[in-house]
Amino acid sequence: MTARAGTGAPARFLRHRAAVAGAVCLGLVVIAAIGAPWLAPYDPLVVDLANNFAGPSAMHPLGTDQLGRDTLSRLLFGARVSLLLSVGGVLSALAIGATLGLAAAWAGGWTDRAIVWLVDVLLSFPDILLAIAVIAALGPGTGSTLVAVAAYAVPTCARVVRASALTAVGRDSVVAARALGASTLWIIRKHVWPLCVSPVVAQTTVLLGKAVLVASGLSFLGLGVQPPEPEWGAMLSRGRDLTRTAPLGAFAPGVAITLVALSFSLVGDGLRDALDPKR
Amino acid sequence: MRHAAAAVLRTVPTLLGVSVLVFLIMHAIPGDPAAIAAGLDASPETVAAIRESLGLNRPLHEQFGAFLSRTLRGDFGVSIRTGRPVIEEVAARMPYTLLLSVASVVLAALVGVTAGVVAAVRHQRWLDHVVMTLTLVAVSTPSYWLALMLMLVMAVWLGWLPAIGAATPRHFVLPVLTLGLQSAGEVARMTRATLLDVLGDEFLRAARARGVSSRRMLWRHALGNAAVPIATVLGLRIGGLLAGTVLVESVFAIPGLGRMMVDAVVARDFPMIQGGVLVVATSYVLINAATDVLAARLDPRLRT
Amino acid sequence: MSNNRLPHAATVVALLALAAAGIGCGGRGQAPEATAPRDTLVFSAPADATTLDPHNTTDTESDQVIGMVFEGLLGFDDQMNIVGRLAERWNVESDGITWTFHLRRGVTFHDGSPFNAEAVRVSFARVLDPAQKHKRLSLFVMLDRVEAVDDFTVRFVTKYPFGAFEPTIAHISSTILSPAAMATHGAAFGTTATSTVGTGPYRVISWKRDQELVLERVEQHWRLTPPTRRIVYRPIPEGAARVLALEAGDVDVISRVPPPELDRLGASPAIAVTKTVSIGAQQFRFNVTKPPLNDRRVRQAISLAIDRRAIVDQLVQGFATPSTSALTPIMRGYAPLGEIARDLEKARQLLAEAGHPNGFPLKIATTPRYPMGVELAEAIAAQLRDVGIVSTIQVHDWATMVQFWAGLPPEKNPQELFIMGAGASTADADWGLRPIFQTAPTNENNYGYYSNAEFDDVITAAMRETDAARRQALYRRAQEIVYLEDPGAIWMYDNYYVIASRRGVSDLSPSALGVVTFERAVVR
Repeated sequence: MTARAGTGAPARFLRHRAAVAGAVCLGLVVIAAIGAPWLAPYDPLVVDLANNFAGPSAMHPLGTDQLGRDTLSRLLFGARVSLLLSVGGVLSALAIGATLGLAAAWAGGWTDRAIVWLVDVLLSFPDILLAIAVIAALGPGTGSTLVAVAAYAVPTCARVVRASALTAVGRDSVVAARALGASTLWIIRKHVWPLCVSPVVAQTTVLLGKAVLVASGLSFLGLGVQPPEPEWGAMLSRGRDLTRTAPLGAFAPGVAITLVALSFSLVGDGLRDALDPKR
Repeated sequence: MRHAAAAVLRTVPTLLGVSVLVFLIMHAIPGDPAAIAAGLDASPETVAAIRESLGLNRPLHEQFGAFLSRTLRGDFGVSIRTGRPVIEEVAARMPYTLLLSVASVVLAALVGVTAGVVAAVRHQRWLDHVVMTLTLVAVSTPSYWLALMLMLVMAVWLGWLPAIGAATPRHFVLPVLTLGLQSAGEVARMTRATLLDVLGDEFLRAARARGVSSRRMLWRHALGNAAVPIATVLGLRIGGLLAGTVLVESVFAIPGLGRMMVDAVVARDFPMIQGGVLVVATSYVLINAATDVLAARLDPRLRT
Repeated sequence: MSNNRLPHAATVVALLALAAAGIGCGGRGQAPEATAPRDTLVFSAPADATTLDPHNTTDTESDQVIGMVFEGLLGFDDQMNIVGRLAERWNVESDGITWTFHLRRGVTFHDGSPFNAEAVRVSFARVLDPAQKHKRLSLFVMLDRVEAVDDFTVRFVTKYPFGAFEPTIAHISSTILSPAAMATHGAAFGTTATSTVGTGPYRVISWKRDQELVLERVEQHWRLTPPTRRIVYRPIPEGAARVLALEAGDVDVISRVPPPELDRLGASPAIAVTKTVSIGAQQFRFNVTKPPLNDRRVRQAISLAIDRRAIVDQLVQGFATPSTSALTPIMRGYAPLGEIARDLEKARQLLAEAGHPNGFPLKIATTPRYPMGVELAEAIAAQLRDVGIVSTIQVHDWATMVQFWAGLPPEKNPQELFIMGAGASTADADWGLRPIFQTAPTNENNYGYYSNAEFDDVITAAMRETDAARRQALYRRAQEIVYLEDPGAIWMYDNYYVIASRRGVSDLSPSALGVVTFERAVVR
């Protein structure tokens, strides 16, 4: 069953041109994030009040912000925090969500009902309020923003994993392995998890895109990453009053967020098509 | 009918869980509603008096018991911030949020299904990629930014539409456009995926060979089968929009539920948060239940 | 008594003129004469009023509307002078605690009930009743009793001579409520359009929360009948959206203009920007219990390391002027002590004397609730680095900030340097200094636990002093202590109150209290 998703998948992905474009774009962002210290023309934290709200020039290709910091440098360094928030948040959500989903599908009965109930409660709770509450409780900072992003993604991850795992648990191979007394972890690793991988991968990439937006929405509400650390959402939300006077300060992070979220989605769609050839 | 009743009944434990969660969250986060309500230059006596009158100095389990029994009797209490009954505050905002959500989902359905069908029919051709990428651009843009850009272009530069407010249907065009386009991406994606599922590659090949008449078949048969998942996505979107439009409501100055709840959190207005969250969660689970029932109507295999 | 002239009215006028000339605005009288006046004005602030109950209001948005609908015995004119409103004349006995007010006759409330001494007595009885838990009770702790002498004479007796009595009676929370409406609505007074009844030139005819609040003028009002029939308050939370709505012509006047937009709007031929000197100042306050901030030399050094000019010129641009004292120039009791210029050498020397030649780590707490709150903290952090002080910035939401300011004992409060907006709504030195810096066991209003024995003595003496000259001298001394010698805060700048309006709107009355009224406004 894994064979179907195996050999042909990379080729199918490469045929999906939009997805390839997205992947290339993400690659560039990752390079920017890793290479920021070498690529950035300035220290992103150095304040130069005398030179604030500067337009684009040879010295500052994207101009400067309210405090005279170089926008391009902040954009490059901001890629690190923004990627950390979305990737870190979604991966932690996946770890928790997958555990919950697998446990529910495997144990069934009351465990399943309890976990489904929990997921339903979280899904019907207004997500922005949940995020605000997490940040208010933990105190503001990159760490708590990451937890807020994870809290947003956990129920979706749990739901997707449970649904895929349920079909796996009903299979003859699993029933047989259970009858033979194989260890739970072994069966899950060998027979259940592989079936979850492709829907999880597709869902995760889509969530990654949404996570970038959730983090930026939190910045809009004045929460999120702490200054002076550069983060795209904060740059955009604090630049929104400048849309008319110093447009690049808002456009640059806005375009960056859109591009990254879009790329994650495209890659997600490409992966879904590639891993599940029926589509 | 029995199915519908069962679906509604299943929402009860979820709502109970939501009540517990909102209560716990409100008491776990820092911030004293009495201090905020009293204002910055209030005396500690005033703050203590307000705290007492709100019942905030009683033990937690007593507060929760009181909250639950009041809620069950349909009494959501009085807002700390405004001094008005929570139920009135919610009722005043509900119509705006409902209108915004429903109109956005209708727009999302129109744009999303069309885009999804076009993409599916042209599977893996350039039109597929272009259409899907375009519908995803709106989803990928931070909503408040999209809203401000639309406002700048349509209201200030072109002068076609009013910039803010909720007085006339024209006022809703820009917010509905913002939210609708953002939801359209998901609908398009679901439509495309389901259609590809239903059609299969052979069907596509055959359809293309037979030309026009198969186009009708596509619409009737394929879309008929795709209706269930599409309805599910739309249901989820309405549910999500009912709670999650605070950013767009703030930008367009629409007095909706999202803004009300965020304002309430900022002021730690417990009764208002509890009331708002319960109403939003109730509509969410009811819409989900309704979608399930509808799906069962459309697809007999799902009937249990 | 009523001619309690402001010492700095002239400064204000000059500044206003400068502001008007500088950005080419001055909405007054420049409206095109040809068009007929319109009957509705739309005003947008960031938020809706929370309550229209004068005894419960603690926010500008509510004050804004209350100031149009209610009147007090006394009021402030445009230059913050105390003037009679519902009182024709008033006097104080030689004991300094008995005040007699002679009321205006023939005034009626919007519901038709007559204004008289009983209405005044009942109004104050309502706010003074501790059982009713009104949020503004603490403003009136000095009041012993309020009695109706006859139908149109009221006597106030204070517990002790109180120098700021008149500004307190001119405060928005001292306005008079309709006794009939109080009896009908009780605690719900001021929560809806119908339960809001005063004597002002406008009455509330509808209030849809967060959407619009509509005022309609009272025909033949005793004081003035406003030229514009209806005022619509339409809150728009987003600053950028507020500006766009003004430019698109959806609204006539906006407040809280985003600072970076000021220059562009000022240059626009369709928009007029009006700046008013206000009671508001931006500070960062010290928690003086946290070492090394307990050492006054360290606080002086921090204050000297800040480049207020650069921040005002570059960051907040036309929105403020660097502070010159612990009060703003328009406040009663203000003493000009001069701008604190940046002096890194002296700052380093003071730090060295205090035993921190290489600086120290510092926590700065701020909230985006204040305009540019986050940017200010970042600018300060950058400037303090020049003397070796390495700061960590913490951004909190408003509710969390208030938590730190709500009667915590010092050991439970982790804040070190924290943002604070100052603005005594009585425009008087007493309310601007006493609750904030007088020694107190917890931080109920003295959020930084400031404690200075001489300051305490001076401020207590000043509070009980009713002679204007002696009072002024005492407040001057108090400001020298807290602003220069033993700093309680970094005074950053004094805010202007800035509004932007469509050209064609004239005769707005912005006030130093940070509200604008429309009783004389004309819309063309």
